[in-house]
Amino acid sequence: MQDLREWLEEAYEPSFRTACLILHNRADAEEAVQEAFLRAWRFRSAMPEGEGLRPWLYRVLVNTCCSRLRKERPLRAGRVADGWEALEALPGAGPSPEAVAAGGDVARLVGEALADLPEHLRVTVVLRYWSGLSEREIATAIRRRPGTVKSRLHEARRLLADDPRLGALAQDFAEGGT
Amino acid sequence: MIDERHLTKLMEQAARAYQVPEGGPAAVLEAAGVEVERRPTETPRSPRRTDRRPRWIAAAAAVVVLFLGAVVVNVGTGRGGETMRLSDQAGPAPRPQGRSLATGGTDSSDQQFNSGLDEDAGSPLAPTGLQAESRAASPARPTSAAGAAPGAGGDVASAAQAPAPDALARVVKTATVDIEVGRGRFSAALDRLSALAVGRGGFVTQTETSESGDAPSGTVTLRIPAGGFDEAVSEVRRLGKVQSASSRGQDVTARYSDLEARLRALGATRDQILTVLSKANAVGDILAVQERLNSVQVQIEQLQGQQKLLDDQTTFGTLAVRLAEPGAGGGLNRGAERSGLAGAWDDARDGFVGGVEAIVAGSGTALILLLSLGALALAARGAWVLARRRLV
Repeated sequence: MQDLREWLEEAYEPSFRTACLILHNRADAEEAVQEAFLRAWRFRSAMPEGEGLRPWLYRVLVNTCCSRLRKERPLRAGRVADGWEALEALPGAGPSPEAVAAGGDVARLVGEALADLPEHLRVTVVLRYWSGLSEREIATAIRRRPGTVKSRLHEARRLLADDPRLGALAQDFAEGGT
Repeated sequence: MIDERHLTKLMEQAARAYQVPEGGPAAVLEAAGVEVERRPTETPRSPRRTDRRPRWIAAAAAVVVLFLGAVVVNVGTGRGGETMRLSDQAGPAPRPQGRSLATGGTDSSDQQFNSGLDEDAGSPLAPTGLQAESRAASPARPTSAAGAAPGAGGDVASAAQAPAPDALARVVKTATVDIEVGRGRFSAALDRLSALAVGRGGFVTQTETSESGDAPSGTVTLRIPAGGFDEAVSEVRRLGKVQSASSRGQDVTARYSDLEARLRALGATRDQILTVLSKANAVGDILAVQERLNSVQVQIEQLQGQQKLLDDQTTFGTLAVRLAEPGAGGGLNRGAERSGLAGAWDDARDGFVGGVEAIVAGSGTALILLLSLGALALAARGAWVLARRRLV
């Protein structure tokens, strides 16, 4: 295993963004990524070599994020009515204002659509379309069969296609051809 | 169905919108520095208790070990005894320094960490900053006790400042000693106990005395600095004839480390919330952030409270001494003296031994031993396989 500093330089940013997409919260993502790196570093002697390394690392990250989601779920559910959402919308909680300004509403809409997906679908779709893992790698990362991954991706894409927030974006994309 | 190329592009835009924290990698490095220092050997172990992992195997192993221990004690002491007499075993036998001190009833997670800590114990590491700070902040209650215990052999300053037996492990030590003193020597023994506690830098937390006929008896609970706890127990045993004794050490290092980590994480969260608060302008935003800040602050204070409690419990061991003159209240192990921690411990011990006795009487000691050993081996193998397979 390479030095932790080099490893962080290489992997921190994509891991952080992956966690952001799963957790939809920067602060939570930062904590989750830190915990994941520490956990992976602690068990570095058990890291698989070669092709197995990448899904192994994502498995650690996903497990950490899911643990945090399960831990935070009651808290979030109980606070939606009294200001949690307002906090989520504050600077520092979601995408930065500069980035939102640069990317228009796309980031916000995609983030919200992802957040509305069930956890197991969200994780799968983020690993596939942001992290770029293959279906087999995702299967290793989430400890499910490749067939399950395939069906989850299909279901996630169906739900996202039905999401009105992404509908307009899809139309723009089709018209722009980009 | 949404197009895959389109979805990839959208996902990338959404992901890029999140600003990567500048200090994120540095924070990981800082935290990992602690981890690396604490665990120089790269032995894969079970993750902390925060991990989602089936724990039944570890729990089953712990139950089997407890069961086995009880059977062995039962066989050694014979059935039908009213109390589990350990006077020959629980003496001041030197405990291996730096090794696991979980001699009784520790939970499985503590056991797991004991093994890891054992590996670390030999490393020349100073405590972490937080540990050092908390140790320094440990209550120095007996500051007025200097010179108060002539002959007790204790130097308050040295007792308070002396390092714990193992500078890394945090162990909650408790012991119970039942002593029969000679006629007319009860009061003197009580005084000696107080002097002993004070002289070693400890203090007396509870004293209960009663008198049945002309024979008094009573219970004294002492808090003794962990560094001199075993010596204090030895000294107490010399006060009279030891009727029974038990001691226990529970390693809470893992729990303490967890608290430290959670406090660090919450501290970072609080800092971030404060940053957000400084940028918020709208009243609604400020209120929402303030609420989140309060919530985090409450969690921090709760964890700090737990940390202080652990600090206290590991800085001072608890020694319950039951004293009685011959003929007092029907003996030392009867209900009259059972109160507080000592009473609870006795009740638990009696109930456990009683239950085990019933099982052993019905099934046979040899069979139980064999089954227990087999189950223990299976559980250990299963835990090992799971640990390898589901490391994270």
